Amino acid sequence: MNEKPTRRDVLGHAVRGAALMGMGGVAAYVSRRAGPEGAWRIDVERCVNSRHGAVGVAVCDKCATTCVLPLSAVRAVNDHAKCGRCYICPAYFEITSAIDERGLPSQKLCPRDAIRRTPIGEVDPRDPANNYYEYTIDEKLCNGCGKCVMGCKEPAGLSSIRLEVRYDLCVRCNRCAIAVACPDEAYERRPVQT
Amino acid sequence: MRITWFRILAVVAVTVPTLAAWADDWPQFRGPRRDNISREAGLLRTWPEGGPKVLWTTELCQGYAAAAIHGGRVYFEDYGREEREWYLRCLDLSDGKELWRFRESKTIRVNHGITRTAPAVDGRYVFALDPKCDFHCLDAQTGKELWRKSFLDDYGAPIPPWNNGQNPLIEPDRVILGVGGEAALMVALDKATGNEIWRTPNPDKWPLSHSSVMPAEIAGVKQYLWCTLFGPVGVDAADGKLLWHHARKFNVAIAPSPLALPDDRVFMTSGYDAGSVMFRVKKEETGFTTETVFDWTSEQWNSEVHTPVIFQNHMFAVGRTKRGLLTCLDFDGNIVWTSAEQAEFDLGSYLLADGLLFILEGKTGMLRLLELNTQEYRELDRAQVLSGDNVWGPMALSDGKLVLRDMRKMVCISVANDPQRAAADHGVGRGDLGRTSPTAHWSEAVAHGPGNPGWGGRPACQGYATCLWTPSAADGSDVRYRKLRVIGGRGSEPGQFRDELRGLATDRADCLYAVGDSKLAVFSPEGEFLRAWPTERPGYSVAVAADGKVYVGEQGQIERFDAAGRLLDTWKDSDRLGLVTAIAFVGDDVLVADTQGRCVRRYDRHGHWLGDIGKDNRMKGFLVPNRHLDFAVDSRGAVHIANPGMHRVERYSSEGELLSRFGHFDGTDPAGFPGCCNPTNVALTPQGNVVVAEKAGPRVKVYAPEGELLAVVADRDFDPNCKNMDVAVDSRGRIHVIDTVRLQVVVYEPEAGGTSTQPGTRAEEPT
Repeated sequence: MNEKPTRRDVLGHAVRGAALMGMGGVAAYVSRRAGPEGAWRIDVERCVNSRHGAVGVAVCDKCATTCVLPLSAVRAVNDHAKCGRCYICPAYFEITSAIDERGLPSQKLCPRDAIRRTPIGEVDPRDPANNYYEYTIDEKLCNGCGKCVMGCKEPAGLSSIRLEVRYDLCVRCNRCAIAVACPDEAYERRPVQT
Repeated sequence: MRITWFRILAVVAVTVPTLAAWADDWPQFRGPRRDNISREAGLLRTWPEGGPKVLWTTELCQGYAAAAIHGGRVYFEDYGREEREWYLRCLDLSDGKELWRFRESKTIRVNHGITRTAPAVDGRYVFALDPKCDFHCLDAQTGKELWRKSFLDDYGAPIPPWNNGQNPLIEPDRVILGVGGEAALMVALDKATGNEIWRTPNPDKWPLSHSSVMPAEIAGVKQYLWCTLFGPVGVDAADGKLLWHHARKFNVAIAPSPLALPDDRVFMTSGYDAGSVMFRVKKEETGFTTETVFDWTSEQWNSEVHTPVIFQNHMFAVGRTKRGLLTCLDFDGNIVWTSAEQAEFDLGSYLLADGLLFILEGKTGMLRLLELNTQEYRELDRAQVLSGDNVWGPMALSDGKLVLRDMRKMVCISVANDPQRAAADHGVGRGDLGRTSPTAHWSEAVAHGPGNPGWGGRPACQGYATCLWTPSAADGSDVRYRKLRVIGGRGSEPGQFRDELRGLATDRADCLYAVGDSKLAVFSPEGEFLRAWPTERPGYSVAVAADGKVYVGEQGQIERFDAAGRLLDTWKDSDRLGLVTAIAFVGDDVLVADTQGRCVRRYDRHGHWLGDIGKDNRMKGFLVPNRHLDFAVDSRGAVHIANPGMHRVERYSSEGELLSRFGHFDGTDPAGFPGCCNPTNVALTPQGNVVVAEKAGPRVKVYAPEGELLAVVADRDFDPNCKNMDVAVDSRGRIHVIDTVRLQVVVYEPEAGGTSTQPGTRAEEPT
């Protein structure tokens, strides 16, 4: 015996159907953004800008210049737990530039002035060269050119700065232009843990 | 008259502590001469299992501050973070017991470490520049402060980033400091009072960095070299006048110091992309000028932290652009060799003594022992003495004790050869040593100098090979050999060799077999040529089995012949067999020295590999930088193997168990093995005495099985360029030695009445 569906049944089916479609869409979106093919990331052990031992070589700026976005999805990130908080930071200053009256290099390294230098902690006026400084990166300005990463690398620095792909900015090109251009195959797609 | 005597006494009082310091103290940064070289000798060329003996350890606050050692006392800077106190500590070198500690309240935050520099001590005073650039003079015996200076207050100098990195320089009556302040560039202070003897003006306000003042004599003028961020300077030692300034920019901080080289040249290197520069200082009528010899970017070569050490007219340092590789450079700036693919040292320090370079891995604290030379990286041993990271502090050596540190502790290890040798270093006569024959004595008539100073009671000796020694056997009977004949020679006759003569053996009838070029020649016991036959490849070794078969070792293979020279077969073990430089027999097995595998390989009579001898030691094989491994088998089946890189002969069972060993490095005592790698070859006399051949200079000696030197058979009969001289001994105890340059065999026989004529074992296979 068949009963006619009520208005309530129809609405219920419609809501459930819409919910399923929504979940399917979300799943499709997530799978596209972080599905089996994974997300793009940078292997710091391969990237010439951060790879230990790769010294005396030119900075690689492929992340900044080849991304399809107007401002690359790659950013420099400073790990403050590792940062030496130096008075003369080789990632902040162009250390080969002329010395000013304070004994500091007169030019900055970042071409977009994306690094902020702020004194922190107790300041000894007799010993300004040994105060601590915090270096933060303005992600609105940084384009992932890698200069600061190379400058912070050992032995001059502590390798606290690295390049990272911002997943919220990356458009997940199937054939990523940076990955194609990367000379060290450091730009790779990895599965995402969900 | 009273004034004269007073002056004499004053001079003696001032100079005696300094003179006493030079012998084996390490009184300041880079040692007594500021060259990073200790004049101590008789140091271990290889370390015991587990590394050198640790004499004491003391905990430290993090930093890189090195020790200074004087009169059996160790002085160094330290810091107490909880107490907020800066320390200058004094320990007893022998046991590490603290004798005194100077304390000063001082707040110093960690900035890539806290302490960085070594004090300077002359036995009476100890000087230290603390991290905040306060300069202290203390009584070296009590630790009481006598006077002090402040770079900030007295000279208007800033504290450099990462705190002070400068090590004070002591001279007989003064201490020299680069201050880099508004009021002075450099000062000389009276040791006793701190009164200024002179100061160098600093009108351009060149700031100080971490470089230290280095003494030098350039263009006949004694001067002090120092490096500011605006380039190196030379200051007249007499009056403090600025003599020259080589204008060149350095970046951020300068840790190395200027290095004076021959021909009035100066080398300066630094980090932070500053590169390196070499320039020549010229004295002209109008004054001093400088002229650049070469100027490198850091992409070419530079050293971040440590100043190079000079040895054999070359510079040695760890270079940054070569990934922390130890680098040998000539004075023209050419890189001669690096430690590429063998070792990386990050920013680890090094110290040279007795031809040995002690060098630390900056990331791990591994201490490596190298035999320093201008040909190649040559490692003798290694030990995990410290732990990483940032093991950058310089080392100090005194009285056979090496003091070194990592970020948490200071360790004192013993690197002296043995206590008896240490005693000898302090003047105990050779007769007291007992290590070599008590009846041995030096022939002073033939020992001549100058050169390396001998031990107490021993004559000095020029080089390694010119000291002759008149030996005696342990039982008191003389062991003498006389030259009997010379066989072969360079040429194209059947009994001669054209290009190479490498391997020797004798058979039961005392016939001599010699291989070289691509042939084998057989000689009668009287040295007459008998026959020859070709080999497929140049022969490097030869052996005669009991059944008369002749084995010829070549590159990658062994050819077997019958007694008439007919080829029986060829063994090829492509998986493992390299250059075969010795062959012998044990039971049914054939032992083969594989130079490329750095071991002795064991095969059955069908050429099947059974195992290796010598691969399971710490060096994973024998050290054969001369590409030659030799051994001999005695009547009991024990295998006597020359391990030249370790300067010893090692005795193994045929199963590969190490039974005993003898030998040690010594460039002056004939009982020792000199040079980089000796002995190169070994054979056995009929009664089991060990015959060895050495290279550079070529020499043949005989030892008792326990290692007592019995005879120096010959040291002047060979071309000086000979090396890897194979040795064979026949049943009459006659020693056959190859002159590898003249391509001949020199034969020595025991003199009548000697102890080497008893029949017994020999290199040829026993029947």
